[in-house]
Order: sequence, then structure tokens, then C-alpha cells
Amino acid sequence: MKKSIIKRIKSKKRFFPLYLMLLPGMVYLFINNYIPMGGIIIAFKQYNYRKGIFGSAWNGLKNFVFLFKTNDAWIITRNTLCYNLVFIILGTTAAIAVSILLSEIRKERAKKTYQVVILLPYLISIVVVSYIVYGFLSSEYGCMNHLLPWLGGDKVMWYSTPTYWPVILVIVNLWKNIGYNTVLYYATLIGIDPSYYEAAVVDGATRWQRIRYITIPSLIPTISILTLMAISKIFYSDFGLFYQVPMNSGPLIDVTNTIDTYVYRGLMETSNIGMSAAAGVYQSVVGFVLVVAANWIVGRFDKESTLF
Amino acid sequence: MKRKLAALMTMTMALSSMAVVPAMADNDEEPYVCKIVCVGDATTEACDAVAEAASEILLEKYNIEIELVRLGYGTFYNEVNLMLSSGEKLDLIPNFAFNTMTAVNTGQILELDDLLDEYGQGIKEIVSEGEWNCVTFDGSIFAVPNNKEKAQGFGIAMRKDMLDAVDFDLDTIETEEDLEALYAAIKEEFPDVYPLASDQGQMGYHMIERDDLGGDYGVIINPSTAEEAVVVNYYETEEYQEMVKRHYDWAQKGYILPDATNHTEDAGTLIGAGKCFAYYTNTKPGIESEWERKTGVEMVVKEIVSPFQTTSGVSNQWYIAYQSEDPAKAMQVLNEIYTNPDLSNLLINGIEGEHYVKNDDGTISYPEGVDSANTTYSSVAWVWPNELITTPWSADGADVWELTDEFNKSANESIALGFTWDNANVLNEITACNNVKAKYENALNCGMIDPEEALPKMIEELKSAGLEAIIEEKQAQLDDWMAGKAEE
Repeated sequence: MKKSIIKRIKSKKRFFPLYLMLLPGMVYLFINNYIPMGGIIIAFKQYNYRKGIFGSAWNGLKNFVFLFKTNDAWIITRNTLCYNLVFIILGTTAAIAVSILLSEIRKERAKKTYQVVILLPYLISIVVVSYIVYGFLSSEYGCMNHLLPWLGGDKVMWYSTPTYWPVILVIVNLWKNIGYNTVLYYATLIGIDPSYYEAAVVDGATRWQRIRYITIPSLIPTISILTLMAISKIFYSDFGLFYQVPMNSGPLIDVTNTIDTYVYRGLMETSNIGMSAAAGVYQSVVGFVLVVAANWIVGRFDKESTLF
Repeated sequence: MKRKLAALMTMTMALSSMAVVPAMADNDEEPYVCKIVCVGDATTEACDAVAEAASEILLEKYNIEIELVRLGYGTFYNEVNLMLSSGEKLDLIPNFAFNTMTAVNTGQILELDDLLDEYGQGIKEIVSEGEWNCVTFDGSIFAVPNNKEKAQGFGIAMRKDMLDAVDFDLDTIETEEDLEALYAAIKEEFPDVYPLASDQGQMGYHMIERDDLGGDYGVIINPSTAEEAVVVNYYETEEYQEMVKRHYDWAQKGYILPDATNHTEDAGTLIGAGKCFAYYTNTKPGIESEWERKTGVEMVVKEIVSPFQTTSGVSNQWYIAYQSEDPAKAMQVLNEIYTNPDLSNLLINGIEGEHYVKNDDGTISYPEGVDSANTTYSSVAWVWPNELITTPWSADGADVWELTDEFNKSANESIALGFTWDNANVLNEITACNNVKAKYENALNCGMIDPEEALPKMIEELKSAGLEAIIEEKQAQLDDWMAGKAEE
């Protein structure tokens, strides 16, 4: 009994520098993510600047009503969820594929070049991205509308034709974010013990078999953690992607309206703090429930791969 | 521990009071610093210089110093909102981009009745009873209306060179429909030009006389001649339906910029670059030179809807922020700006010799080497409380303020002038309707989508989003107001 306590203290001591290194991050998280949670209170108040957060009158659930009241409630929830699901599935698959391809490249120089090239879009501001897209799709000068007649097709008024936009948005999102996820998976890949592969080669495994039986299983914990994190944000949408990239074009709203853009459009003119706070609380609560549920499901299959 | 803390506090207090005492020695009272945040581009140095000169005027009279900050048009609203929510020092702000009713409901601004009675006599003399009604909410005055043109007409601003080239008789134009012949002539003469521009992806000016009754859906059509105050759905009116049908037809014919809603340039840039010929505008004395400054080319403005006066037309106002440490002093400053031409000139036009020079005919213009694009203190007269007492710019003409006065007097009054709308009861409906509006309105106005198909859909969606509840509420408030007015 005593021995184990001493052992524990000893191990604590051994890890003390690590805890110390953790401290700045924890402080940051506390200040930035925990203290502002007090603001949740605003969602239940009729906010008055003069009376402040605590002095304002209680409002019950009135601030939440606008999120569910309209026919749009279904559309924005569907859009937010479906786009994010597609992004998670396609994004993960593509990132894994690309990172495996990267790891198979022998020449160091080529490898570095590819890495930079696929990471670059991630670093471009979404406003710039929206103009790159505009360069392709502008009805007058866009390169698509010059290419299509040349190939024998008709010109398309892209910004007033909703049909194409689910595909366009998925492509843009994939192009923009694939680099970052690839780097994460690639980091895991190069951490795999080379002796596994050596042993497999000795046993006569083909390249495909090595990927199938060594690489992918080793990636599973990373995949599951990244996916779980993505699920916690499934009720949030990338505002820039859904607002800037379609250039806030009215006719596209049915396929580009998500919870975030709905709140923005609805409250731009009325600027009601209580209602925007309510939308934020709603998104966080649903995200929280989803991530706990998903984590529990993952835990039933494989304890090692859970987030917490 | 407590004792130590107390000792420490005493020491700090002693030290800090020691630091203050010498500064106060030669003056019985520290001057109050009144912070004004206004809109428009200006460098910090220029603002500081203007503030210093303004302080000189005010120190002597009221022992007040001015701190002046000017914010860009795009950032003003967000930054001021941030100042309001953080409670940092702030005294006077213009209502630019703010909705007065919302500001009242959320407690962002102070009621001014007592302050006006005591310190705002100069303002009270200039502002009329009718205008005070437009800024009165629940029986209290919350804003001071700017003294400027108080009515609005609508018209079209056109490039003079292109207009001359087609030799078109402007007297034939009485309604928007009459413009079609002009657009056709322009298109024929200049096939690459799209006659009608959009403004940052929008077409907000409609050649229809209407009173929007403070915003948020529900308007009165032809309010200056209407006999009864009936609130209607603007999108269902014949006037609106005809307009969007016309615009769709024009877009098909190439009279309107394709993808008009996706152009982020403003109309002035598009016209100045020769890509477009004209755009709709409000009308007032000096509007042509305003367009010439925007486009850089000679412009002609033709009025289509003659000027009329609505509550929203009294649209530029000044507030005292709720966190003002001394609202009385803030009101004194506001009153002085309203009545003292030297102070108004300084705040609006900057410093003589640096930002403007005086001409012999009693006007001002830019000094050598300075123009509207490179000046360090841009002049945005209408945003300040009283432009009518300042020296006019030579481009506007020496008599622009007299013309403005005449313009105000000639304008027809809306039947609902003075009515203010409180949207607190229908916020959910408005939020939902705003999303429907975002989906259709711009595209319809710019002729991008077929109104035969889209307009009924929009109206139906607005109705299911609760539009009728908004209009009913507005009508009820308006009826109450009309009844109150009749009693008087």
C-alpha cells in the first residue's frame, strides 16, 4: 500500500516538468474557453446594455424560438448536418489516401514539394478563395463559361443555379482542407515502427497488403480522434465557405444556408445579442451531446481510440 | 494579511493623489474629456489636430476637451457596438448604421428630454416639433436629428458624355418605365456598356414613393397623397411587381449588368470605369457634384420621384451613449456643434490650410495637391449634426444650403411622418423574414431571376415566416399613433 503511494509520488515527480509545460495551455484554455461560458446566461436574457449581463431581465426560452419557428429550421439543420457529414467522410478518406501516397514517395525533395503544394490552400483566406472560385464561375469572364462552349456545352449562370452548388462546395472544402488533415495523418504514418514493414516484406507481403494490414490499422486511433473532434463541431458550419464562396447569392440560399449563415442574415439588421447567444448555446449543446454519444459508441469497439 | 493589504492600498492612494495634486493646482476643476466617435476616413494625426483645435473653443466656454475618433464606414457599426458592450469611454455617436429603436430597446443610448431643456436650447430652436416626434420613443426623446436635407426624392444619375452621345430628351422621362428608350439608345450606341449598374451587388433605390415606417416590412405606398394610413406588403404591391418584371426584362436585353448581385464594386466605380451608364440615386441639392466625386466623370441627375418626407427620412441623428460619464457636458458639446459655425466647420471640414482653403466667393475647396482621395480628413458633412451652418464646398455651389432649405420646405409630408415603429414583439418573425428576403430580394431587384416564378414563391415564404403578423402589429401601432394624433 505504502509502496504504491511512494511510487505514485515518484512518478508524479518524474512527470512534473511535463505538467509544468501543460500549464500555459491550460491557462489559455481556461481564460479563452471556460470563463466565456458564463456568457451562456445572455441566451436566457433580454439583454440591455445599460443594465449589463446580470441586471438584464430574464427572458426564459424566448430567444431560442426563432431557430425553430420557421420552415427554414429543417433546411438549415439538414444543410449543416449533411455537408459536415460529407466533409468528414470524404475529407478523412482523401486525407488518408494522400498521406499514404506521400509516404510511398521515395525522393525527399519531391515529397517536400508535394506537401507544400497541398498545404498551401489551407493557408489562403476564404475571401481570396471566394474570388478564385469567382474566377472560374463568373458568368461573363469565368473560365468555366469559356470552357463549356468550347467543349460544345451551354453557358451556365452559376450564381443563380443551386443544383451545382453542393458539389462545388464539397470540392472547394476538400481542396482547401485536405492539406492540413494530410499532415496530421502523415505525422502518424512516419511514427509507425519500420520493423513491422521489414517483417512483412520478409514474409512476402505485397505493397497493398502492407497498407491494408499495417498502415491502416495503425492509423485507426488518429482517425477516430480526428473524427470525434469533427463530430463535436457538426452543428457548426464554416461561415466563410457558405457565405463568402457563394458570394451571398440569394438564389443559392436553399443549398447554402446553414445555421451560422441563417443567424447572421437574420440578426444583421436587428443585432439582438440574446438571440445570437441562443444560437451559439444551441449549437454547443447539440455538439456536446453528439460527441459524448459518438465517443461512447467508439468506446464499445475499442477503448484505445476514444477521445476521453 | 488584511492589514498589509490596507497599508498597501493607503500607500498607493497617497502616491496617486500626490501625482494628481500638482496638475490640478492651477485649475479648480479638471476639464471633462468628451469622446466623439464619428464615421468617415481620417488619420489619427488629423483627428488629434482637429480635436485639439475644437478643445480650444470648448475649454474656454465649458471647460471641456474633445477626443475625436473616426472609423471607416465598414467598421463603424461593429466597433461602436464593441465600445457599447465593453462600456469603454464614449459620449457622442452618430446613428450611422444603428437603428434608433433597437438602440433604445437595448439601452444603448440615453433619453435626452431634461438635457435638451437645460443645455440644448440652441438645438431646440432649430429642430421642428415634427422632427422631434420622429425621434421620440415611449414619450422620451432619444436622439437629436441632424440639420440637413430632411426629405428624399429619387432619380437617376447618368454619365454626361454618354447621354450627350445619344442626344436624348430628358423631359420625356416621368416614370422608370420611360427610361427603357434611353437604355436602348445607350445600348445601341455603346454595345459593350450595360446601361444600368448595381451598387455593391444591390439595387436599393426604387422609383416608387413609399414610407417604410421605420423598416422591417410593411409600407405605405404614395404616403404623401394617401388618405388612409394602410400598411401593405411592399412585395405584393403592383408598383413593386411591375418594377421587378421590368428589371428582369431589361436584364434579358442586356440593359443591366449580368450577375449584378455578385459585383462588389459600388455604382460610382462601375460608372466611372465606363462599364455602366447610370444608377438610381436619392436627389437633393448638390447631388450631381456628390456623384461626380464618386465617379470622377461629369454626371447628370434627373429626378423621377419628387421629394417627400418620412420618419425614416429624418435618418441622421446623434446619440449620447449610455456610458457617458457626464451627459450634461456631452449635451453642451452637441449644442455647441449645432450652433457654432466655427466648431462645425472644424469638425466637418478639418483645419484650414491643411484640409481646405477659402475661396473669394465664400466657398471652400481643396488646397494644392490635396483631393478627395488623398485628404487626411475626409469631409462627410451630412453625418455631423448641422451642415447647414458650415461653409459650402465650391463644387456644391455657394447657395447649396439655401437650396437645401427650399428643398425641405417644398417636400410633401408622409401621412405617417413622426410615427416610430417598435419591433420588439415580432423579432422572431422579422428574423425569419430577413432570411427569405436575403434569398430573393436582391436577385429580383437586379432582374437576375424570373419574377413570374420567384415573386409568388417569395411572398408565400414570407407569409409562412410570419409577415402578416408583422404587418398587423405595425398597423395596430400606426392606428394607435394616428388616433393619438387626431386627439391633439
